Formats: sequence, structure tokens, C-alpha cells
Amino acid sequence: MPRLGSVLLAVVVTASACTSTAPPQGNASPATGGERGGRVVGGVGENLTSLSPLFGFDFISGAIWSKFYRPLIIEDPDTGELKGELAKDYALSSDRLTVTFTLRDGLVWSDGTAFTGEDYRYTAEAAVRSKKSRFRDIFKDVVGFKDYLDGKADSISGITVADGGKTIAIKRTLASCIGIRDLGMTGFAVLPKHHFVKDWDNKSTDATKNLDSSKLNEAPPASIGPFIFKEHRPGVEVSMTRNDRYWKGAPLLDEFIMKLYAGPQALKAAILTGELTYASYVPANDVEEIQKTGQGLSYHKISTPTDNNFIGWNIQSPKAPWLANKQVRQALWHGLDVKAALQKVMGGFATQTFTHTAPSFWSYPEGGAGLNKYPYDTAKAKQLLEQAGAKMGSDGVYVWTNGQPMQMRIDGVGGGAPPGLVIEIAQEQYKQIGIKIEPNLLAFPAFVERNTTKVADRDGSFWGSAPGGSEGEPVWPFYHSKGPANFWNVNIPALDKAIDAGRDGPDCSQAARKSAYAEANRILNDEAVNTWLWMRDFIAFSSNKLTGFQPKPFSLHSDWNIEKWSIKK
Amino acid sequence: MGRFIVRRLLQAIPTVLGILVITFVLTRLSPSDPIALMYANQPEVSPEQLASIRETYGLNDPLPLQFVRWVGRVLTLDFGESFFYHRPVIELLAERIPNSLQLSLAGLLVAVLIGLPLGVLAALHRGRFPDHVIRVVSVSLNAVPDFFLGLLIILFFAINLRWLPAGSMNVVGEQCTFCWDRGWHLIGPVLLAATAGIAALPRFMRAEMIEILSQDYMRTARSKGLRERVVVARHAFRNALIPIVTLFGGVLTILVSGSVIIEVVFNWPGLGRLVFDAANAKDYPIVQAAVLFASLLLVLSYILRDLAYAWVDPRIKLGR
Repeated sequence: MPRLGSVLLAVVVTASACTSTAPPQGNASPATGGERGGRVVGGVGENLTSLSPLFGFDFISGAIWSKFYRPLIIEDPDTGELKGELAKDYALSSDRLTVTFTLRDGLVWSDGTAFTGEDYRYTAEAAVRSKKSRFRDIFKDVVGFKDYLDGKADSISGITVADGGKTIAIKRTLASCIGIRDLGMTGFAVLPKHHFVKDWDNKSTDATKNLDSSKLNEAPPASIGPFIFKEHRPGVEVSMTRNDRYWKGAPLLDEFIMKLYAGPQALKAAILTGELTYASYVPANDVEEIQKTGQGLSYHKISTPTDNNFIGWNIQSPKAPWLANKQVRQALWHGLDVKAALQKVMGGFATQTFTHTAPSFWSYPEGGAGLNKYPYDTAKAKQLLEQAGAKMGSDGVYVWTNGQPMQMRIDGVGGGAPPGLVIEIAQEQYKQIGIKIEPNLLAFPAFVERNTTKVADRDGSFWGSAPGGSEGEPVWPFYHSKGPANFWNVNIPALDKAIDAGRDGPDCSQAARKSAYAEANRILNDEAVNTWLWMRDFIAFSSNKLTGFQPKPFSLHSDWNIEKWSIKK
Repeated sequence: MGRFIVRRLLQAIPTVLGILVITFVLTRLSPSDPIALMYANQPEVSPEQLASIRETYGLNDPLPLQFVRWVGRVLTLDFGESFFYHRPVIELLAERIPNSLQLSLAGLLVAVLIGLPLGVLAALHRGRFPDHVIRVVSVSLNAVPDFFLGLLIILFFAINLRWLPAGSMNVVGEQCTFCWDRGWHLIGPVLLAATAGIAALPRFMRAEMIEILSQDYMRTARSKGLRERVVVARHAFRNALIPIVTLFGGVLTILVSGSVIIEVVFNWPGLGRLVFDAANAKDYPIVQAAVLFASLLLVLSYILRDLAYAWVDPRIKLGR
């Protein structure tokens, strides 16, 4: 089940240049570079929800179905830029309306059936007709979407499959630089039509029927990925075997098993007893014990863009009107010793951040240029507060221009660090600069209720969130005035303009978009919309017998080269 | 006995109806919307699509309508579909119940086999060394939280000594329900599951035995020349069991519902873990079905308990 602040999402990407060419196409010959055979057992500390990409949108489910089902394009494991997967290349038309994907030659499902654009069309139409899948919105701007959704047409007219199924052209109603990632099904995947069509035929005007109840959703019948589904034992494990027809070459491993654990404690115990070949997203507070007690383990730690922690300020808070003032927000950033908090809360297993976009992301300002680092400086913080009009009260708490003491609430999820600890530190340190904080620790559901809507009754909240965005760049949902997740009521015209330029062009070149997003990040940083804290590091342990395991920032499941993994005998 | 059972079942109907209402209302009164919770980390999902998904699950309808629809489905044994697993709840419960049952039954058996004899032993050696030792063990086990004891078992027996697995039902990649491997995986969780019984049963049994051993009919039995073993086993032990049976009133529910703590610590995929996760995620259909199921079992347990009274004490007549 998803948990804010700990769940790691796969939606941190971008649409890149208008045209990209993928590396040379793979073939079905075995991968080279290691010993063949053997079994790898991976471990995750939560249960999966579904083996279908239509419904299993959570991180754990994605880690499993992505071994069978693949998208047309993926993110580069190092930079997050888009690159070909099942599509060898993709292109955006000059009018920014049509996206074209060209499939690789010789793609076949594990049962020998050819992979074609009709598989893509089937999956897209399944998502649109589904009553429960969240992926319907991906296609909402495709020509013919509404007619198909309502049963007025038996296919989405904007999706055209040509060249014997090798070319997929998708015509949209809105001109934009983005949407390529989503239309390429990154974070989603293509289903084998020839199996699923037995349960639901997409060529139909009956909008009441769909794939939602298909038994095949939980028993993937064919694979276009490195492994073939073998068995799912609910709450225990999912096992899979090598796909000899995998387009990158048959994996060296014979078998892959993903074990499901009830939580971090059970996962840690499994690592320590040697039950697992590798485990990803190990909690930082377990690292020391595992390093001390575990035997024959390799330790991996990299900075990833998966969990961005910050204190978000409600700019339109009626109870804390000073939050609308930029100097006050800057003072709040200067007034918090983030580096010390990072050590105390995260034990150093995090990377300090200064804006929403991850430093490893392609659209991050080059070398962090133009981003204020807001060093801890209480004198500077007080100076900014006074410049904003605050006056020191007799009780050591500043009084705002309307005569109100500068006292406000910070929400967080209760029950442990980091939220509780961060808010405790903020309470202590903001006291030093004359601002009084009331911690408001809530149960997770109550926190979500209060903090995922544009409610006015909120001053600040500690957030742990993937800096994601379905439109292929991380800032739009949260900070554009029309963003669906703009819970902090940000409304800065210059910021909207920069984000719009990155999304909609008219110049869709990579350089132009990078420049636009860099500007957006600089504005976010300067406006101090949030007090950005850090991004949690990715921590994994792997057995010394496993070779090829090499986590990268934008390969959330660390499996970007899984066909080359091998076990030393 | 047949009339007794029928009467008790009829009496249970209002209880079950009450449970239906309370379960439904409590799950709905808790804050937050399950769909918002499910997509809390998916900022790109539009409010329109969230509303559409809510509509699909009928969550936009007035609560009384949702309740009537749910009861109607329950009557046809349709418990709905899980919001998170996108599968029928009945399937999810059916997968987990045998796992919980196996663990709980084994735990109960161990608790009874150890706990009751210890209680008898303590009573027979009242105030002497064995009595003190049993009391210390009982109080200590009662004082240690389950999760802590579970972690200790894993630390010593699984991680340090490597005698036991750290959890799960079978070794990786294997599946068998009645085999040595399953037995090996059961040792740790069963020890933990039996702890509560081993801690509590001796104290109850000791108190009952001491009371019964001082009864006149015990003296009569001894004066008839019966051997002490027969006096204790046939006359004292059986009579002492009557109040103990009360303790097992809700045993069926416990057996099937499983223990969240044990299942989480030992990574046992039982019903307790499923329902705990579902409750956290506001997966109403699972929680409602599990609570209803547990309640029905509780009602059944009490009927069985009354039958057990009659079995251990022939003076108790059913239906009068």
C-alpha cells in the first residue's frame, strides 16, 4: 500500500528532444559477460497490488510486471531523458500534434507471437475503457478519445498503426512538447492483445465492457520483457523464468523470484540470513546493522530523485498571512539548519536539495547555477523578517504587520522520523528566529485528507514526495497555478510562463526546454515556495555472488541491465 | 441439542445485523477518502479521474444507499472487490484464511499442551519451587510484548544461530502445506503464537485446580482409595476445565483472524496482515468482509463453547 514519504514513484521524467534514436536493436541471442544459469531472489518490503500495469501502478507492482511487460520508451537510467525500448525511435511532428513511434524489428512475445502496434492500440483502448485504471488520462488529448470512451466509436481514431504494425502514430488535439513519455507508456506497459482479446475485444462500441475483471490481469500470459511469469503466491513471492526471446538477448539467469515481505524488519531479517540475493530501498537506519552482521554482502548507495522531502508553505494561509511574503519564506529557509537536520534525521543518507527538480535530472540548472543555497543564518533570517515588516514582540515571537503573533502550524505524518523529528527541529530552530511552531502530527489518512486538497486551513506541512509529473517534467503538477497537485496555492505568473515554455514550446528542442525548466527552478528557489530539505538516498544490498547489479538514479528497480546479471558459481 | 443450536442461531441474527451496521459506519466515519489515499503519491492523476474511479466503486453515493447495496451483496456472498488488489474480496480472504488457521491451530495446540499441565503442576506444588518457577515464567511471558519476543526469536534462532528461518511459510521458491519445510517455518511463529496461552493458562488452571483440590468430593475420592493420579486427572482436572472453556469462547475467531503482529514479524501471509494493511489503506471491502466474517465466527464460537460446557460437565443441560 502506498505511503507518502516512503513510497517511491516512477514518475520522474521528461519528454526529451523532438527526435531520438535508440541504440542498435537487440536480438534473441543470449546476453554475454557472465555465467549462465542460477536464480536471483530479490526482496521488497511491501505487498504488490496487481500484476497488470493497468492497475498495479504502485512501485512494488511495477518492479514485478515490468519484468514481463515493457513500454515503448523508457527513461535513461543516468539522466532520466527518454530513449527507445520497444520503439527504436520516436518523433514529434513540427506542429507538435502527432507523436510517432517506430518499433524495433523482430520483436516477439515469449510465446512466439509477433509484437505489433496493435498490441499498443489494444492496451491504450483497454486503459480508456477501464473504470478503475488511472491511465485513462494519458490518452485524454488523443483525437477520438471521448468517442471511444463513450462507445460512439469502436476505436480511438487518433491512433494509427501502419507499416505492418511497425509504426504507431498518435494524433493529439493539443499541440505540446510533452506527452511523449506517457504516450510511450513509460511507467505503464503494453499488453499482449492476442491473449487478452479473448476476455475483452477492444473493437467494440459497448463501453460497459472492459478488461477490469480479466483473470489474466493476475496471470500474465506472455512476456516481452526479460522474464516469463511462472507463479504468484499472494503475500509470499512471484516467480518467473528466463525469456529466451527477449529482444535484448536471453537473460543469463534461469530464474528470478521477487519475495514480498511484510515490512522493513522482515526484509532486514531476510538480508541478514542470506535468503535474498539483493534487496533495494533498504531503510537507512538498518544499514549499520546489516553492514555489521551481514555476510558476503555488497553495499550500494546512490543519490536518486525518488523521495524529495520539504516543508511546504501554504501561500494563501488565512491564519499565517505572512507566508504570502517572499522574504518571510526566505527567512524560514535561512532559519533552518538543513545540513545538521540531514545528519540527525537521515543519518547522512540523503542529498540536500534547493529546488523541486533532482540534481541528476536533465532539466536541473547546470551545476545548480542561480540557485540560492540558503545557508543557516539566524541573523539573516531575522533581518529578512524585519524587512518584511515583522516586529519583535515582548515574548520573543515576531508580530506580523496585522498585529498577529507569528505562530503557525506544521503538519506531518506521526509515528516516527523523519516527519516528527524534522518538525521538532523546525520548532526548536524557528523559535530562535522568533517564529512559534505548533507541530500537528497526524495519522497518514488524516494527513492525506488535509494535505492533498487546496484547503485553506493549513500553514505548513512536511512532505516526502516523488518529484514526479505525468506530463514528463517534475514541477508542473505542484507549482503551476493550474497544476493538479498545487496544494500550496502557488500562483506566480513568471513561474507559470517558464513551465508553459518547457511544456508547450513553441521551441521543443531539448536546449530550449532545459533553459525554460532551469528558469522555473530558479524562480521556485528564489521564491522559497517550500523549504526544500533533501532527497533520500537509494540504498541496496546485494550478495557478492551477484554480478551486474548496478543501481542507477533513474532505474527505480535497478534492473536496467537485468539480462546481464549472473550468479557466480 | 438441535433445538438449542437453532435457537442460538436465530438469536444471533440481530447481533449480526448490528455488527453489519457498526462495521459499515465505523469504516466510513474514519477520515479520508480511500481513493485519495490510494493516489496520494500520484499528483498527475486528475481530480476528474479520481471522481470517476470513486463513481465506479459507488463511493459518491449517499451512505445509506451504499449500505443497502453492500448488505444486498453480502446476502449473495458477494463481498465486493478490493480497491487496492482489484480482485474479489472473497478470493483474497480464501487465500489467507488457511495460512492463519494453520499457524493459529498449531499455536493453540502448543499453548494447551504446555499451559494446562504447567497449571496443574503449579497447583499440585503450591508454594514450592515448581510453583514459583512457573509463576515467574508466566508473568515474564505476559510482560514481554509479542513483537519484541518475535524479534528476539528471529535474532537468536534465525540470524545468530541459523537454526530457524527468519520468516515466511516455505523456503524460497517452494510451496507445500504439510511438509517438514512448513513445520520448520512454523516453529518460530508458533512459539510466539503460543506465548500468550503459555503465559495465561497456567495461572487460570492453577487457581481452578487449587479450588477444586480443596473440595469435599476430592477428599471423598481419596478416601475411597483412588490413586492420586486418578483423583487429579479424573476428578480435579476435568472439573477445572469448565471455567477454562470460557476462555476459549472466542477461539475460532482468533484462529481464523490470525495475529497481525505474528504475521508481520514472521512475514506470514495470513488474514491478520491482509486486514491490517487494508485498514491502513481504507480498503473498505476487505475490512468489512473480514470483520463480518470474524463476527460470525465469534457467534459460532459461543455456541460451540456452550456445547463444550455440556461435554465437560454432564450436569449442564442444553436448552433448559
